[in-house]
Amino acid sequence: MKAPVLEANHMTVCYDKKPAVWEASMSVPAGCLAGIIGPNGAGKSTFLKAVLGIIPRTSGSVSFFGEPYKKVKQRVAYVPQRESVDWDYPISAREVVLMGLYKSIGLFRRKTKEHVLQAEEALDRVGMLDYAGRQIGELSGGQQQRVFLARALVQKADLYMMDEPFAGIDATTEKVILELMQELKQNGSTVLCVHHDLPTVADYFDHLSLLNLHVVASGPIDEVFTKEQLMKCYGGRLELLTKLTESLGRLEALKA
Amino acid sequence: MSLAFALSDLLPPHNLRVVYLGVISLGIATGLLGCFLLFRKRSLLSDTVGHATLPGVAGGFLLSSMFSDFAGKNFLALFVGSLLFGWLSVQAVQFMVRHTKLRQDAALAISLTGFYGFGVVLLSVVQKSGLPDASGLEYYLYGMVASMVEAESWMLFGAATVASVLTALFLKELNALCFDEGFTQTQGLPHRWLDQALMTVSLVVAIVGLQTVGLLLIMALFIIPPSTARLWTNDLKTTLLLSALTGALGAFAGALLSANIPHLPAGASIILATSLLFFLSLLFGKRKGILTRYLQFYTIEKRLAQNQFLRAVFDNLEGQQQVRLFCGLAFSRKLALTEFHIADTIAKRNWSSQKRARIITSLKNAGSLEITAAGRATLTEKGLDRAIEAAKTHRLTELYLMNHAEIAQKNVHQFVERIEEITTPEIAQDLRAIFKQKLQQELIPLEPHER
Repeated sequence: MKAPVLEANHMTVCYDKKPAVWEASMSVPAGCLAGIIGPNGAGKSTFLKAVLGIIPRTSGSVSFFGEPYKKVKQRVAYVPQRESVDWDYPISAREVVLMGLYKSIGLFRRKTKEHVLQAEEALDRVGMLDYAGRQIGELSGGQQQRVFLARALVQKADLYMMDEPFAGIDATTEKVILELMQELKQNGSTVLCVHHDLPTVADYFDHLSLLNLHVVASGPIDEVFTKEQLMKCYGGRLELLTKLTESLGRLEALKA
Repeated sequence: MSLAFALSDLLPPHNLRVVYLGVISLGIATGLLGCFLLFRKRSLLSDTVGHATLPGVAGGFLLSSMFSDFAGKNFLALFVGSLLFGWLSVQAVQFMVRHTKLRQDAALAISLTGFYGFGVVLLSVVQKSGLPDASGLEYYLYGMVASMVEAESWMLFGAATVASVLTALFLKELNALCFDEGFTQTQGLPHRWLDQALMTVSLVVAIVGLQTVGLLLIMALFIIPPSTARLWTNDLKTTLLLSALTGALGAFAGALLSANIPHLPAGASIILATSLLFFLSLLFGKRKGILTRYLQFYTIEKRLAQNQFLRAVFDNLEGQQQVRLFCGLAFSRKLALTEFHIADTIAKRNWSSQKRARIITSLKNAGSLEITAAGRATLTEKGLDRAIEAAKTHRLTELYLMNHAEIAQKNVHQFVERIEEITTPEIAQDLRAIFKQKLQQELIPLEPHER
């Protein structure tokens, strides 16, 4: 059997000694559209960032395609949350997309026409070619999101990890992202999205993980997206778990 | 011979040339590095570093006069001392942010004041010690260029070269790092060491520049040039270039002033010159200048009023000829170029006589209108073209709002008078594309919302 595209084992992440993600395990099979949902502050973005090593893990292990992340960085594309960057930065939409090619262009080398063409092709796929020369701050929220998507597309990755791509966007962008996700799936790629909107979950994804501090449930959508599982994740029963981990964190802090 | 003589006569004397090379280099280095500090939201760090070097300066002076044979200002000891304390202040900030819940701004302020306070104490010890040359330390506070030695100038030149080479070689990577750090990390692009290199070079440049600008004002050279550049452009390379230029120009002008006006501290004059460039950019900057924006607004308002006037003329002409634009009836251009009464034409608008006069003058100057007699005028061919375009765009926009945007007929009226303002040439083109068929069939009615 093919190795899962992403496998996290007992991963714990702490901010100030307080766990934000605790003993989370998740396995995402290849070729699916996977969603991660959970209440606000449940650690969804933290999970994504920790898996990618953007923030350090306290414990646990992660592998991509059965390999350590370092070996397969180029096969994974990351689309951060829109709020994570300064949109006043002096950069055009085209250059943002080109950023996805910086690694393959290589150190001390300059971009060529070929690279610019690739970037513009990606912009075209998300319907943003007309805005290639615009400073990114002049674009609407949805358009910014599409530029971020185009930057991921040029990497021609096998796994696309997106942090809340559907947050605060217009209908056109939503349609573009959904079509793109289907297209990527058909080409054998995998998409993993952090998501917040419950009503659309069943329409968008075929694999789902419920996250609230730890992974409550993970698997095919029809097994996981059930009333009982959602109650577990959202129903407030996890308060005790929060308290437990907090006191555990305090203990660790004293030891350290 | 005579040419060489004339040339050397034009150039400033050797010691001043050394100074100018030094300050221009400093301006370029801080201009470039300041951009990255600004993008990484670390501008204030340069202030903390600057102030925190004071104990290093005073301590270096004390130590070197204790252990060295030639008492007084030992350049190397002071340099190492300030470097040490500059570095310590950065470490202190990072420690506080990482290990306490203090926010960055508080940590910066604590580090700055703590080290500076310590420096003031050491400085008072130096002043009481009665050591010779102790007054020279004042230069480190307020800056002094006249005392710049050749070695210092070359160090500044070296710093500028390192900053330029670093920027040129790693522009892509720096760009990614400044825009989206998380993404840069996932890409496996240089990230941690590049950040460290950037900070280290900035630290060294700040300290090499201390004696020129003074530790109180060194931050300004890191902050003002990039802020000035951002007022002009939205392009990274241009920002870097303009910032380096602003730094170089400000530093040169300031040094020039300081060299010619006795007792004017170089730091103050350099910062004043740089601030002047900033102030001018604030007014005239192409991207966000205050006057520039006002001018843009004024231009739009003028075009709006002109179009409103021309549209009124055109509506009247249609009425006279009893035709409707786009209704398939022949519109005689020849008849349209007849004389009309200005006041009657725009009676519906409540324009003041000054505004009316202003619009008519501007249209006349633009070659759209000719005054034939007092209070009477005709359109020129050019003016007629513009009037037709204005009317067409206006009516298409109305039609669009009603048919496509589902805005109720009575509400469209509220938009109508501001339509010229919002229909840029780009939008007008889109409108033409949408109503292409109707335009070909000439089926656009007059003032759709009145139907």
